[in-house]
Amino acid sequence: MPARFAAGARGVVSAALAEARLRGDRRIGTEHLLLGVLHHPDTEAARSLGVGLAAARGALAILDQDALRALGIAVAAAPAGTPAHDDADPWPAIPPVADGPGAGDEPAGAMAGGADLFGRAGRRPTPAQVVQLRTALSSGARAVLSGALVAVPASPGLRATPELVLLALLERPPPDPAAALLDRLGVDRAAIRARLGGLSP
Amino acid sequence: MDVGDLLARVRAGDPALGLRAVGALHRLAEQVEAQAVVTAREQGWSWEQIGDALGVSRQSAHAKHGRGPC
Repeated sequence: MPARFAAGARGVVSAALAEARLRGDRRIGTEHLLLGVLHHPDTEAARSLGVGLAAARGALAILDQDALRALGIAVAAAPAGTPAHDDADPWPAIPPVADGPGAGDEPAGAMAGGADLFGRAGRRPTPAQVVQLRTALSSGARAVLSGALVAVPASPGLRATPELVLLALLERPPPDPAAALLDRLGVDRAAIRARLGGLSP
Repeated sequence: MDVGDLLARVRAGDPALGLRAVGALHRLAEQVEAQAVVTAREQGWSWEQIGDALGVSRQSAHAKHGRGPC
């Protein structure tokens, strides 16, 4: 299945993995996929959102802060990664697969080798890589990527794109994390659907 | 406010907010852990000592943090 992703959609998932790690999350959720789209500002998908990566990260931090405050815990949360890694691109956070001692029994180990999740270009991923990807994706994120693929006719030349991933993200109902983030950002779903609709195959 | 008050707020509140707070606390713990490990390494703690303090094996502590900005 992952072999049918275009390079653009692969980049979205890899960036989503980097965002999940940066935030200290164990799995790639739909909110990370949305950040993954924003990692590629040159795509029609990112342009149609009308917000930048920093604004989206900040909105997630505010959502966290509000939830903690509702419990009486006052922590002004900076967006994850900003204090220590602000100048660092999250890409270096994805190291090559390192099967060091103890790898695999930790959350971080479960997502090791993310850059290679889809196998090398033009090659089908190994069964082990598919299992690794399933472990790294939340059920919502899995549904979004499946939805993006369903929108692609089963033709060898066609691939899922960042635009199809975004259109699938827009369909997530509350309390999905991406839905909460889109609401927080005030994103106009209908406008994006209208703008990207013509791009669907 | 004590833990009982906090739990009462969770019980009475919106579960979406409560569950997000759990995620936020986890993310906060990860950030605190990463910084604490860096500080411990700078002060000469071994990976075994750090693993014991975190309740994980030496290998797990090193695999998770060993590649970090140390």
